[in-house]
Amino acid sequence: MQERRLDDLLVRITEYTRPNACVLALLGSTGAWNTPALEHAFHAAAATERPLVVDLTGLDFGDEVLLGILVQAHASLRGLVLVNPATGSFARRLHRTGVEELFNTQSTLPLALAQLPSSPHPR
Amino acid sequence: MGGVEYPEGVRDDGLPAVLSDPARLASLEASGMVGSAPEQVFDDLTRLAVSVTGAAISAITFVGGARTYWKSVPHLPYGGSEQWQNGVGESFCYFAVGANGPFIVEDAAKDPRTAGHQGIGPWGVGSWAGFPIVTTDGHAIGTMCVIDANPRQWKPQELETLATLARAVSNEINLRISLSTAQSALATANAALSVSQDLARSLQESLLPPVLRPVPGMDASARYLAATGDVEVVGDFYDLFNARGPWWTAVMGDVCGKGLEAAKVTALARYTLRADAGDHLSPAEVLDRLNSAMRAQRAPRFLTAVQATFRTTPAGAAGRLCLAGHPPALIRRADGRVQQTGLPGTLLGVMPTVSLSDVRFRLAPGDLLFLYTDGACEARPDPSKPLPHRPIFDEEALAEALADTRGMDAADTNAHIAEVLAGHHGGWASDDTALLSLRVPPRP
Repeated sequence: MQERRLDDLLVRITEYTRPNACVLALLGSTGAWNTPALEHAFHAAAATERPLVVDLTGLDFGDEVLLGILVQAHASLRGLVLVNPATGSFARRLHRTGVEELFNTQSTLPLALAQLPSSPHPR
Repeated sequence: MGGVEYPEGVRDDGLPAVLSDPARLASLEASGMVGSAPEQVFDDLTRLAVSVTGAAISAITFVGGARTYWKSVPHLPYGGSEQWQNGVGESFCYFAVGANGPFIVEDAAKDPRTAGHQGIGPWGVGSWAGFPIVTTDGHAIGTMCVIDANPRQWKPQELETLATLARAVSNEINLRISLSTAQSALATANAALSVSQDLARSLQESLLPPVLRPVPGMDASARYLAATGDVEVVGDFYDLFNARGPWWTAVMGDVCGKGLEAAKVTALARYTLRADAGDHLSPAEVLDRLNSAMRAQRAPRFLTAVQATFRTTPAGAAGRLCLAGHPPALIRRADGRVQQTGLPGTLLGVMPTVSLSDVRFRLAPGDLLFLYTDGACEARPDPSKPLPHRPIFDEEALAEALADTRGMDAADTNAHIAEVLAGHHGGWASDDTALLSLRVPPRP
């Protein structure tokens, strides 16, 4: 497990790799001040060439940039599952923008991982 | 006098050709030493040279193409930088510079390289030892030297110390050159940044109407609040224009992200909306077309928008409004009640098909339609500041603030909301915010 202390005060991204997925757990709030860190984390996750699971359970606030990154990740990655985007302001944003249906969403991390092929990803 | 060979040969005046080398002179110029006043850091080194060697005089000199500049001669009275320079041929310094190596003379009057030299008399040179001051790019630009009145033998450890002192001077000079280069690069970068900031501002202004076109029978006002410290082109835009006949269109959009890519999408959106609004009075239809245009042009960003198309009526104003991924519009009734208007619809530029719906709205005299971007419903205090923590200024808070504007005209309403937002985020705006108010004036 790798935990990054970001150069801002409000978002923490925990990144770890499961046999069949790369998991990003977002904690706190996203904003203009941590956009580069957020983009870097998603870029690094994409480089693992594994499906991506983004755990939004600890997200207090997600801005339009996070939404844009998720939309982009959906279009370009091998698979994207969101965990628990059902509450809070980011849930409102997903609903308001009408892109909920774009994403495979699950209420827990085990359920999200179960959505993905269980065999280890060939490197 | 003779017997000295210089790698680059000699000039017509018999002095080393390298004295006139433009690259060497450029390094000398970059050192900032020419014509500069004495400094403690150099005087300390020359004093050290005298105490180590017991010589009468020590000097740090910088050697140009025609003049030698005496930076440090602490054992002689200083008469100003104008006085402390002489013709390059009038002292021995050019020997060490021309050779780019040490120049050691034990008996100046008898040494065949210096016998009869014009510098011997005025300086009382009996013996001389100097090491070049060399820049990082290899140019000898001056000397660290000692002069004695009588002939003498320089001891190896004295010369070693002198060489070390010359390197110390070189290091000091090279640090200054590096600093000066860095400062110059910084100045260039700052100038470029200033140009790009000007461009960003003018581009932003070209994407926002400086003055709203007056709508007959309506009071309209827009306000743009830039994010703190932001100079990039941002994606918030608004427009108010005559769609066709009595129909007017107000639109507010928010392109995800900032910078040139966002500006391109903003321009595409504004002109597509203007072109299509005259053909289709349904905002949903127009925004659907914008989605297709963005997809067709592979727009690099998505956007959210709210569009209202309306006309004035004997009872006030009426029209249709559509949300595309945008927060709901607000209507402030004349009595201060605030209502949300619009059905959630898909943001534009991502999905091949979008779900967009028009809703009808009516404004009576004194009512106000309020369009905004999400900076107005997501204001947060500066995260880098310590507590107290404040919640996000959300849609409910915005509706309450709008209710407080009861009776205000469009401009005052925007001003009040801007003030409330500033009060909430304490002068630190996390996002850009655009506000557009349309009011049917109250009946007199």
